[in-house]
Amino acid sequence: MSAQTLLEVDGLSKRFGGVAAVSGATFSVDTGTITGLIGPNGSGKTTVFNMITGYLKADAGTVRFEGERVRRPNPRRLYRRGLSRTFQQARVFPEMTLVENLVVAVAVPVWALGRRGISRTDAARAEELLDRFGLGSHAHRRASELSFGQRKLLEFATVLMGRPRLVLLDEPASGVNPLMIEQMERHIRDVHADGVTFLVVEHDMNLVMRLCDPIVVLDHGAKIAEGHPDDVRADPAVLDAYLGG
Amino acid sequence: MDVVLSIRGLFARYDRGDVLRGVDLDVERGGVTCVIGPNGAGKSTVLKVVSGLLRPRAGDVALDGERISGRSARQILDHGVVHVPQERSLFPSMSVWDNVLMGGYVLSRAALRRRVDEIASRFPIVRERRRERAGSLSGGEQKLVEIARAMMLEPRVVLMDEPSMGLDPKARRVVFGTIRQLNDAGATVLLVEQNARSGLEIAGRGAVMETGAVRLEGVARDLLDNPEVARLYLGGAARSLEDRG
Repeated sequence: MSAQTLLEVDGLSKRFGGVAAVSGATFSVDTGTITGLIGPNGSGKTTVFNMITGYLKADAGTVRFEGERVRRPNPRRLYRRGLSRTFQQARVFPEMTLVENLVVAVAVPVWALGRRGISRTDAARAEELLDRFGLGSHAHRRASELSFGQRKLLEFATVLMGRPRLVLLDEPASGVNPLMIEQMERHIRDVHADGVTFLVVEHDMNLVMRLCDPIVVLDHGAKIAEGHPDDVRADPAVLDAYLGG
Repeated sequence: MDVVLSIRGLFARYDRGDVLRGVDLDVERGGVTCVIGPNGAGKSTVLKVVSGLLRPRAGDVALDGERISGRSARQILDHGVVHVPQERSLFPSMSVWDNVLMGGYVLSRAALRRRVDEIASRFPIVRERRRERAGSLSGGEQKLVEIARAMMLEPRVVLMDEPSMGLDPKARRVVFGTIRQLNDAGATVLLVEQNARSGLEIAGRGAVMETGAVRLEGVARDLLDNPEVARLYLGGAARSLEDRG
């Protein structure tokens, strides 16, 4: 495989008090993939996400993005470097309109927005993204008017404003109705077709198995399996992890 | 099978989309029935509906043939259905003893005194740690006190939501040992458990939930060997682990 490594996670570890949430997690995400990160509850998936994106400081281990070591990860800097993420509970600014939500994501510095206002190019890109996510008719409404699923779409669109090369999705389907899950899947595939690489944490196994290849499986904070969905699904160690010991 | 609690066609939702989509489940009198299933399957929601914390949108819950669904949590408690929730629920700054007394707050004074002595004789932790603040106990010890408190009302059915959540293996064994003892003494338990192996080990009957419905039901110890369980946990086409030899 001539695949190029986009993200490299090596020996990442994190303890909370006496509990090792992540212990030596090592895996990589190749350019152009939709890589799945799965594992039973408490296996450390979100903690790994938080360390990669700088929301948590790792106790040990390294993260490399595009071959370069991320020394002091900081969400804002990473966003500008082309790595961004979503959250299980979509984080949007409820009092802002949808367009504003998208525009503040790329405003540098943010306070300049107040003086200079929204640039025409940013506004145009925001509206185009909202159209693409089926939120065009809500563009000038407040985000608080959106349903939970729509907020997730909005957050996804916000992430794309920065033209990322790698997007980390934290449970894009959780708390979302089946119809919206299909929509979400379509959007992920669309954006993927445009050349964006994904790392996805998700509990909806049917979605993961359809969407992701390869899949990395964590248990107790360490990798226990990796590979094609069929192989992962047939791996007795994976089922064991899910059924508990 | 002598059914004490019968659930039929249960639909329920929080604020968005049905979490339960037609749950049918029978609980055997004097037995432990264990519900397992992947994250988000709706296991805890079933317990919340049975104990009246969440009103079902459709369907029935009957206790010895009498419909209890749609009644208030307090009325359902008076029918003898007690819920031990997943999260820690002791009053941390109250003593262990007072916490157990709170479990009998609907009893008369005389009954309360008699009952708390019975509980203390059955649960060593209540005796030995009676004066300690509940919040100073370990997670496993707190869970035991919660179970003791739940037994104050001599419930007809005890609902237990993931009693092993967040416990180390040793504490987990103690908690499951206690549930087994309760059951030996005649208690009926409807147990929801993420750790399928531990849960099914102490159960007579088991059920596997997935996306809001019971997909599989049977003798608990047979369930783990059922290849269908793998499919329900890991998604995709049924793949027997036995096929691989």
